[in-house]
Amino acid sequence: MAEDELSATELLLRAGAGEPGAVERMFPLVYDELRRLAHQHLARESTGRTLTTTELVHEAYLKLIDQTRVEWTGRAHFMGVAAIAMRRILVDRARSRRRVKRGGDSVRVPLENVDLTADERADLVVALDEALERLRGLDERQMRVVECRFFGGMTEEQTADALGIGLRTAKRDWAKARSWLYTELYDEPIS
Amino acid sequence: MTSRSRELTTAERERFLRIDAIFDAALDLEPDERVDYVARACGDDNALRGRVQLLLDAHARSSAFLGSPAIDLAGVLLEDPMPGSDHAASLRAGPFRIVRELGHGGMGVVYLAEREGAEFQQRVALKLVRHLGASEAVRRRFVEERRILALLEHPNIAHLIDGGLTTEGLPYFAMELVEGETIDAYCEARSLSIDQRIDLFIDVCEAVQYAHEHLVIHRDLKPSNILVRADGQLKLLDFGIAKLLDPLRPGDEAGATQTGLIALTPEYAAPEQIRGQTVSTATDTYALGVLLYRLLAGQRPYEVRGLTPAELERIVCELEPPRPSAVAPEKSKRALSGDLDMIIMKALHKDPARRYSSAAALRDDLQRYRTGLPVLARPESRTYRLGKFVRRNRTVVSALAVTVVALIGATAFSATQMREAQRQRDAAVQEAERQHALAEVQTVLASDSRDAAGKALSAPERIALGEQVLVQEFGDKPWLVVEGRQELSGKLYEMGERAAERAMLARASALALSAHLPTQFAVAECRRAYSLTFDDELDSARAALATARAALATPGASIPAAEAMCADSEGQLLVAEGKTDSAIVMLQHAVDLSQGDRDKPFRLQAMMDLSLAVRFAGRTRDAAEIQRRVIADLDAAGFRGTAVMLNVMTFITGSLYELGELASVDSLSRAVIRAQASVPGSHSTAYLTFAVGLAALRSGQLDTAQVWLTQAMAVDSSEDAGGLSAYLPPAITQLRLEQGRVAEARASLARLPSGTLQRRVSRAWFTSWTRYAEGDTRGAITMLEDSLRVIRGTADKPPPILAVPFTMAAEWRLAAGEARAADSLALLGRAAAGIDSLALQRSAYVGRAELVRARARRALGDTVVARDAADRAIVAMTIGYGPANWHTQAAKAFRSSLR
Repeated sequence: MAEDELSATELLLRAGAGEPGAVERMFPLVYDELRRLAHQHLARESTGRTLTTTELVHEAYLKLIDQTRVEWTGRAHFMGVAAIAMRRILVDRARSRRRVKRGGDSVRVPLENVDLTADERADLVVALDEALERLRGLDERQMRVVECRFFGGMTEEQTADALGIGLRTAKRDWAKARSWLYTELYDEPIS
Repeated sequence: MTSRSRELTTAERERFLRIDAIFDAALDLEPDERVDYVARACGDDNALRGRVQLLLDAHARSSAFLGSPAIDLAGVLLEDPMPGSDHAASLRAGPFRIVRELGHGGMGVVYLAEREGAEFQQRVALKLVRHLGASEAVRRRFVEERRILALLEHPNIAHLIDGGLTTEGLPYFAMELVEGETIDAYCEARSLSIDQRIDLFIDVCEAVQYAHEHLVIHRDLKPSNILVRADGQLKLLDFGIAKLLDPLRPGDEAGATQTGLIALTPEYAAPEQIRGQTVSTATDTYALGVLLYRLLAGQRPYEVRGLTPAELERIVCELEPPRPSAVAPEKSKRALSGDLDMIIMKALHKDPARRYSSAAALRDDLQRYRTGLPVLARPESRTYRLGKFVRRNRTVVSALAVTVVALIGATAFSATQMREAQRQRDAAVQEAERQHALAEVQTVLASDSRDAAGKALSAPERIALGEQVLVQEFGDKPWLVVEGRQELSGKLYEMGERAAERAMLARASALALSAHLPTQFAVAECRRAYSLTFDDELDSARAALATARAALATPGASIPAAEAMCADSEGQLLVAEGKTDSAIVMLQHAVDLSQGDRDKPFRLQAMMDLSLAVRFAGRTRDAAEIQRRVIADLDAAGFRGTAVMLNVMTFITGSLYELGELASVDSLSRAVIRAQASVPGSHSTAYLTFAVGLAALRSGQLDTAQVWLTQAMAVDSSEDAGGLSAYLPPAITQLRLEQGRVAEARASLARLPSGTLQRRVSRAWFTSWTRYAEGDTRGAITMLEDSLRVIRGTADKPPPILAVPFTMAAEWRLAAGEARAADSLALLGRAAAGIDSLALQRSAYVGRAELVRARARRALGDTVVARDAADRAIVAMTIGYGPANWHTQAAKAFRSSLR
């Protein structure tokens, strides 16, 4: 079965050509690679320097994609997929931690703060993920912008390229989505 | 905790859009202008204003929110020990403990796992979603696979054992563990012979057919998914990308997009898969063809590794693969060339509609090959090469032509007589007398009698002589004479001598009446009604039937066989009157009543009559099913190679032609033509001669058709004017039109019958077709439309089949670029099919009208109505033609082009 799988490069090219399903098929490859790289880094650099998403994604890109065959727009596309993968990696780990440690009790949303415990961080990630899923139903583009900027660590320009939207839209969506998420997480619902 | 998957209502979404719009506009303003603006924009909707204000507040406070990337926040979580496939050994899934990985694919991993029970240890194949990070689509796909497996319970399919969620929250399921080799490795390792390989392959067909019957398409048939255990038991695995057909939601979006998720196996993918078109059961048939190719020739039809998608598409969709025998090792070349080459190439046909219609059909052909019978796959006949126009016209003709079915009538009465006899006297003596009388008559019929001038007697003359003998010898026993006359009338009926038949029956009923034999009287009158219906004398038929019913009401007269006879005749009459729904009920009743063994021939007659009514109702597939049953039953009853059998075989070609099963039409027609040689006197029997000619005509063998139809005409007119006068002229006209002999077609129009609705429509059709062939396209269309409208105006309750010519007229208009006229004609067709009956939703004919309507509407730019019409077409055709039929598939393809 394994030899039937197409390379990430091939899938990226097909995704660029608009082939339905190509992104979904590329996704597991990106997910695996990113997760592997993240662990490698953690093992190697357990002290000191923090890991950046940009580095991880870039490294995964070099690893998975044959750059001689892919244009610049393909790279933007790849980053968009990598952002989704990063979201899933982090959310999956957060959920797993919550399930293992606390049997999946309800999420308490901590304020965003650098001094959070690992459990609180897991809570926050899960709460964000759930709010993002609600946002997907309301305005999917805003949700995708958050994925790129927050989970993918991408700049405004990179986000606009990956999603094929204007720079102004990317900025505005980011501002609106952050406000919306903030109210979802920290404000009492009013009706 | 809010549910992640909660569906948002439209109202919620609309509200969000309003809030978002106001919020967005406010952000364009300076901060101190925003409050006023929001107040103005929200009016007195305080809730709305509060919500927007909340967002503006959040905006002011959230500048640092999500300011640094997620990995800064959650990177620490990555230091937790890894769950998932990396630590499979420590994983448990419900009651199962994972032992080791067996394999993995794009979406899932399969593990060997064990369930430890108190007394047993069960080993299973456990399938997990491979990635914690699997997308929702992949998870949904996985759940779908579990659902599909739960549907399937077959010895050749690995079955579902259990399923649930792991502690990690991953969906899993446990399947029967199959320890064996892949089918190709198994064959190689044991150096199986070609026949042994075919037998093994037949098991694959069984499994696939079973899945198809449960509306499941596998879509990924290949050796690595087909294992053979050491004991030779074969198991089909991995429904990971299988598709569940939903007959009520054909071509639904989810199914279509999911196709894209799938890592196709290019070597086994059918052209429609490569192109991303609708897949059907025929897609599996293709993969089966590749598999058989691989097993028998030792290699696959194409080498596709390393090709670009464009190259792959070109090769699979356009390139004809070499015949298996051409690439096979020297030792198997001989065995493969011929039938097996043809079988495999048929399964591999680029056009799904031209492959085997099902895995069962492929299996059957292989079994025919194994038992030395002629296979159905054969070089494409002339039929396929005929112009599209002729082919489509022929569909109309085959729908409209009420073909003659002559089954044995007389034998049916034996049961009646038995019962009468038991009531009267000693049954054994009666039966002996009866046998004696019939044997006497039979002797006369079989003898080489000559008239005074020494000329051999014709068949009707011999029958007249038989009747004389009957009266002379048994005149003192009226019941025997009645019985004998009925027997003889059956023979006349078989020959198509309906006037003589009715005269014989009239003498039988007169005698039965005077001798107080009410049951026999009723039966004779029913037969007469049946015969009258055939000749469109519907009022007389009704009257005869009423007399029969009255006689059966006499105390003690009613017996099931006679009731069945009446029901059958009445059903036929209802068909002729266009009351198709009532006819079906009545004919089903006739079939149900005639269950006894000795009634078998009659039961088959009733089934054929039922199939005709079902076909008129537009349930072509059901009709063909019933007809196939009749053929099988006739075969079992020893009728193979008889005139009866050949008639039925010809009859069934009409339904098969309509269903598009052209290969079957072809092979049946050839079988009819071949077999007639062994039927005594076939040249002189008008019916049979006609049947052979019709069979040839349907399969496009025009020269053969001409020989037989001309012969039928000669025999018919020389013996009796009534016999085939309603059936021959349409066939002759069709022959001349297809031969391009337009002047002769024109000449034969005058002899076309009129009377019943079908005949009038058929007449209008041929007249227009002739005009079309003469080059007057416009006149032909106008004429057809006019006559159809007139006919429709006179029809009380027209059968769905009337939709067919309207639909053709609509197609003509559409082809001429006149979408609006086409639309209204198609609508008329639909309406003609009987608005007030359930048939509207069920009829294949209505489906065809709807499809043309959809095309016309799209041409007019009205996609909304086009979609509706296409949806209705799919529903109607799914029932009328079956989900896998090419008509239905064409409708689905069209529907998906409307998105």
